[in-house]
Amino acid sequence: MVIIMDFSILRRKWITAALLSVVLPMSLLATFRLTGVLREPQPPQTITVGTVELKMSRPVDNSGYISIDEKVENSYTNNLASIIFGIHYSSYTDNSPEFGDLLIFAFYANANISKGFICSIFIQFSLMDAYGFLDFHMHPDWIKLQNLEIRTFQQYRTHEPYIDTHIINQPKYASLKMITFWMFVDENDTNHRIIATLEVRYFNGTIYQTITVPIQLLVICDEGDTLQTARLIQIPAYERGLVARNDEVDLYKFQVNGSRKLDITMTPPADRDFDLELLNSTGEIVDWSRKRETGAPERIVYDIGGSPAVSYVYYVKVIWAVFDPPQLDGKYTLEISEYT
Amino acid sequence: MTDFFVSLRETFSRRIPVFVLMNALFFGSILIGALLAQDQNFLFYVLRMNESIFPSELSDPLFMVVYIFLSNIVVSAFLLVTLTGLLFFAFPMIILVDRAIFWGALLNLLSTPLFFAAFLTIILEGMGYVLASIAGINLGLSWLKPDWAYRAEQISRIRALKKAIRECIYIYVLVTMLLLAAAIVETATIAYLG
Repeated sequence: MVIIMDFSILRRKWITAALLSVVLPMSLLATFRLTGVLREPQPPQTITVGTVELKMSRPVDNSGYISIDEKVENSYTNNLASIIFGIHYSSYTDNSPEFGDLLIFAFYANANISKGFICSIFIQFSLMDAYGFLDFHMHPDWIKLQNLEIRTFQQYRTHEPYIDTHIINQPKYASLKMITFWMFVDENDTNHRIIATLEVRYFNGTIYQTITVPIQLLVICDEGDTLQTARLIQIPAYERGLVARNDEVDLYKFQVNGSRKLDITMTPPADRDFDLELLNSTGEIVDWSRKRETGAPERIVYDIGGSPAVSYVYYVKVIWAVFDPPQLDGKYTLEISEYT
Repeated sequence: MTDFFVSLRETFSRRIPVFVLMNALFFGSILIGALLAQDQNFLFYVLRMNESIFPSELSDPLFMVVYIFLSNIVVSAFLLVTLTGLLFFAFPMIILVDRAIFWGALLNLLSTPLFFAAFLTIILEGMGYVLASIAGINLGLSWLKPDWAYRAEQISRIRALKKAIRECIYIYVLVTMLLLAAAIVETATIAYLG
């Protein structure tokens, strides 16, 4: 063993030199870091952008396909980075044989860094109810990736689906676009909510930054077709609804104090004709707007009267115009405000 | 067994000047890389040229040790440093300098505790690569300039190459020990300090 470990035939000066050749540079490295010649990197920063929301009411018993073109985008921009997260609803299929009720949407993320490089892109969907599921459509034809590849993903029958990506070659630009199915397994009596969050991590030369960009998706169950099932809303209100075959009526319920005026405007799609009616608490029509013109906004201005101390219940009804061909579905916007 | 270690010792003692030179080149280049990477443009350039191969997704420590060890000894040491030396004896030096500058640049991204925690891995792994480069330089010189590789001996290229391959095996015993130790230390560092 002594023979094995005996390196005494090596000249002492070479052993010293060998040690010095390692110790000297490493000691200098340590000294430079401790004296600040080599700067310490700053701790990572996380910036969370405010949430934006995309709200949609769910069609009823349409037994078919409805084209939807609703889009929401949230973004973060500074002098070095531009990050965009978007969601685009494309269609809704009611009672599809394979999946049941289904909302198809595309989500996309673009990250652009002028200095440094992108380290990671992570997208998380938090499903906030027990009756909705997500299914990422993983067919290569439906996925567009630039400078990244999908590393892992989790979907379907989980409330925390996610897409985790692997960035290729530390790029300044990376993007992802995917199609997703949002499946609903309730009887259109539950509101559905998803918080989708994009997390982009990049290095700008001195610091790692994580930018979190959230979007809230809200799909509200049908407004209801009767006084008993009308959806309660607060004034002022801005609602987006859908009138479709077998769901010709949407009813909204609200309360307003007396001695006020109501201003109600409903805007149908450019090629549709929907009517607007105001009903009192007993369901009696008190005012209406029924222009025979496609795309024309219907407006009611109504004086409530009565005492300011008393709260009155009213209903707003959006209804298919009788002359509109029955197969034409359409989304509308409804604005209700009050003033003295 | 004793003969093997005697041969190992003799091989190492014969190559110790090259070992010192390559050590100085490698660890000096780490220092230079760290200093150069204070310039952001240089840091970006180095990082873009060297995509990270760190196994950040491996959670099982044993698997991580094996993964790090095998990728270091097979790819980084043998294929990139030693085998390229067989083609031309200067290649291992170039590759070592490139690797060292990359490491130096990466050190700039570490907080001070991690910076010092990485030292042991750097020294063990670095010395492993330095020894692998000695084997590569020896292999390259053996067929190109046998009298440079074996100064006192008048031997043919074929014999010099055979001798260099034998010495390469002895050196790789040390390389294996160093890189295995480095893989264990690196795994422990990642596990405890992230």
